Amino acid sequence: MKGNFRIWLFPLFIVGVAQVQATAQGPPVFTETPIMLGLEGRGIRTFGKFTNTDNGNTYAHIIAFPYNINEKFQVGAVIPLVWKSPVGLDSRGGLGDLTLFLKQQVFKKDGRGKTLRALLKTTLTMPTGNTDQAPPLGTGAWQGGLGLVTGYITTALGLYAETGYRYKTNDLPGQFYYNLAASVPLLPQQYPPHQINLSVDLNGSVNTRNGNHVLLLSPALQWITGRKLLLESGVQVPLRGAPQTNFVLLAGLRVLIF
Amino acid sequence: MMLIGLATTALQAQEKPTMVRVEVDGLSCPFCAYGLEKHFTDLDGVKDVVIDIKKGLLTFQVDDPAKINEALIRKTVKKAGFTPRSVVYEKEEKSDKTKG
Repeated sequence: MKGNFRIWLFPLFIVGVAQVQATAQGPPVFTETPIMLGLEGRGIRTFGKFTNTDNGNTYAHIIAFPYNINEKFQVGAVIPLVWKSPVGLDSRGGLGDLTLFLKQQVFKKDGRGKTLRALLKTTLTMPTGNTDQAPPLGTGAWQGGLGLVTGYITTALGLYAETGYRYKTNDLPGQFYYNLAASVPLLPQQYPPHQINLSVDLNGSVNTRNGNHVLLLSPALQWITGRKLLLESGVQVPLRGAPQTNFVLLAGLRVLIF
Repeated sequence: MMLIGLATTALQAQEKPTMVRVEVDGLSCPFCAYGLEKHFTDLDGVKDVVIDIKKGLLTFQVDDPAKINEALIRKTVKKAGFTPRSVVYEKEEKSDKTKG
């Protein structure tokens, strides 16, 4: 199963990279962007994430509301609704762990058709997911995160990197995480935008207690239908550290509301 | 009669909109461009806002260049999250005011 995915994804990646043109592209799907403009600061992002493991399936529907205080600060909330269907147990659904975040732009260097930006991202995740019954809908712990998000975005290519640490209460192990992404457009440029973007991400995390290193390969496609709407879909396949996870599917949209 | 003619000509010259061209650095994604576009369309007295991402160029028309002055334009570009470069007011008769 995993091998088939990789065989299918490789040519897709090559096709995308080979078609790099002088066009603008969108944000990566599985990695944070340092851009706090447009859809990243004045809209809603929502997506469904389906995770298939040997132990059962999980569907999480995420709704994220970013709000720009000014051009350098953004606050927001991420609301997850979770449905779990573990093997041998009844299915359960409801609110997961709610996250609040603050982003602060710490670096910006603009050029013609390009920008290099960095921001600090602070997150606070609350144990709002019910853990009284199995399967639990949250971790039952408070979580704090601090990360650095950087990106070099030109009209032809977007390169993104994110790294940080998540601390968890209740004696749960912390997590170092890192995400790398490249995003390229597949259609000629026009504004208002109408294009298809390909992004390929590597999403990794290391458990600070047992050292388990999870690494996922995450290709995705985006369809930008105009000024205010972006549709996106992607898949994550484990490369290491998650032997029971078969794949993760994501489909969603970002819409401008302000 | 001659005075009326002169006054009409002067009025027409006054009402002719001025094209403004702004070079904007950092324009690298379409959604960013929408934010810039919206900041300018929200300004009273600005119309026909056009963005060329490839050239990093924002153009629009203003009826009153004194009201939509260079300081306001630069402030609005920065507020939208970008870096302004040159601001050029361009009359049809090419009597430009250029500042870098």
